[in-house]
Amino acid sequence: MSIKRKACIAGIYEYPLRKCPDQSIWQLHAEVADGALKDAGLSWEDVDGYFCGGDAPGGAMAMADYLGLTNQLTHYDTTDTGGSSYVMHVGKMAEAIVMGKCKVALCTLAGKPRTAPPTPRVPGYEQGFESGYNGSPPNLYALAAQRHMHEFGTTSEQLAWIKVAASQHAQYNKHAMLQDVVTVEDVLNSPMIADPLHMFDCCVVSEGGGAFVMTTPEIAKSLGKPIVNVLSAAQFLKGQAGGVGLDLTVSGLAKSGPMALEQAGVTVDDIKYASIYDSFTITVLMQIEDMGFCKKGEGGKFVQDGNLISGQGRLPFNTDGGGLCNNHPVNRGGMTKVLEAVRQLRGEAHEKVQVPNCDIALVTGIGGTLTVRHGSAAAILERG
Amino acid sequence: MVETSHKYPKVAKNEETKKFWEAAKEGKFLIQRDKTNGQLYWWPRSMSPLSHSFDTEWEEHSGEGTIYSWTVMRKSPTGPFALGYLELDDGPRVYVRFRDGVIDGLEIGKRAKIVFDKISDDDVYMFADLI
Repeated sequence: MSIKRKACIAGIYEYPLRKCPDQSIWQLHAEVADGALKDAGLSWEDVDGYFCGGDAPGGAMAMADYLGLTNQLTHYDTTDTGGSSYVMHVGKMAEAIVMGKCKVALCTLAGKPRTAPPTPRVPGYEQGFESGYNGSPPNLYALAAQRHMHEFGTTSEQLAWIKVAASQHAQYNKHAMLQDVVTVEDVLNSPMIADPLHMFDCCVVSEGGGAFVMTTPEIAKSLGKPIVNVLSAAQFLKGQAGGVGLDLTVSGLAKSGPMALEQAGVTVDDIKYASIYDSFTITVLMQIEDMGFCKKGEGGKFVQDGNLISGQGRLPFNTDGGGLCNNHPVNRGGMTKVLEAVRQLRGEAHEKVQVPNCDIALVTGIGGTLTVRHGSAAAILERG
Repeated sequence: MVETSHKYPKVAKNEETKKFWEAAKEGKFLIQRDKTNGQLYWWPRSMSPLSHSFDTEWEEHSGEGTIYSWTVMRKSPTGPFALGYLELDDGPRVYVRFRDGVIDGLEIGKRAKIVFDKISDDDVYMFADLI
């Protein structure tokens, strides 16, 4: 059984603010959900599936009750692999729709890490051997970058090109947290956070959130919006695996990426636009290799000289400015990745960054940490 | 063994890791071997993550190995500190924090070893140091 062209993303919404001192986390979930339903032309009464991640306090049961959905949901799902959860939900929502478990599925993400820091994920067995080390995203992703540089000669200049491309796009996004265009030199001159990653290699910490609504092709066609089909979605978990043969230069996308391509029946040459999870520049570089846009170790060469800039390079990426410049709400970038891919496929991206004839888009997610353990996800979407 | 310069959280122990932490207090690094394939794995646990066999055994390891990757966290309220992966001799790659104060001279391929430092009256914790 396949999900190919059997479910459509019908509505999207991204919260316009990046700092939200006056809204509660729950209110943000409600507002982004309302925005996505209005964008789709659907109503709250239509929602019979609800999907969320660990940012929703208490999970789907508690959040659905707050949202006034508990007496109408026939399907609900709390999935938490950090920021990739919402890319995984693209697949889970499509599967639920194909299986007839729901017809209108809503996915929300919201939070305010600056003013109400989220509760850390409850640790697992690794707690005794990891939790005391103060490992955090910047230093853990730095370990992967350091090894990648050692094995393949990847340079800080090459990583910097990823931020440069994101900033070129962000200048056109009036909601982006960072709208200034930066140069490779600016990235290299920004403070070192965790060797070899500089401050500008790291994503923003932003508040707000986003939501999308998925439904059946029949309902989607009745709404009068441009159709965005789900072609495929795949996920793969990578961890320490006992430490034997552990390779820090490869992400789980090396498995989930090709699976998504195969299920969609497309190759990387068909991808016109890619929302690539960009918690850090190294995250982008490794995923480009793992998806097969280039060979392992050649990501540095691939991303340099503007190859990720829309209108200029081979692979326009994160045309909203991505997590590196625009928005990485609640330290979880998967939602905004889905939203910009839908804008591109609808032809609703900013005219300066809209990819011409954008018919197939890729969305990826790496949630958790690139180094110790993460849930990877890939989804491929198509203009209907 | 050196006294650490700032506070670490209480070490989370359980029935499966009790033996490890008891040996650690005596400065000994214990690791488990999967008897079905002869390989060492990390972290210690009753079922091998390699073969899913419960036929495993404890053994003492020198804790020595080479640095597989490293970083120095510069943005830290308690001062810079280093994290890394140590590839144990004939063993797995182990995520570890370097001993307090060890932030210079780290390089991939350099020799390093597991050490245990006292972090409270009750606990020692596992770190790495250059050899």
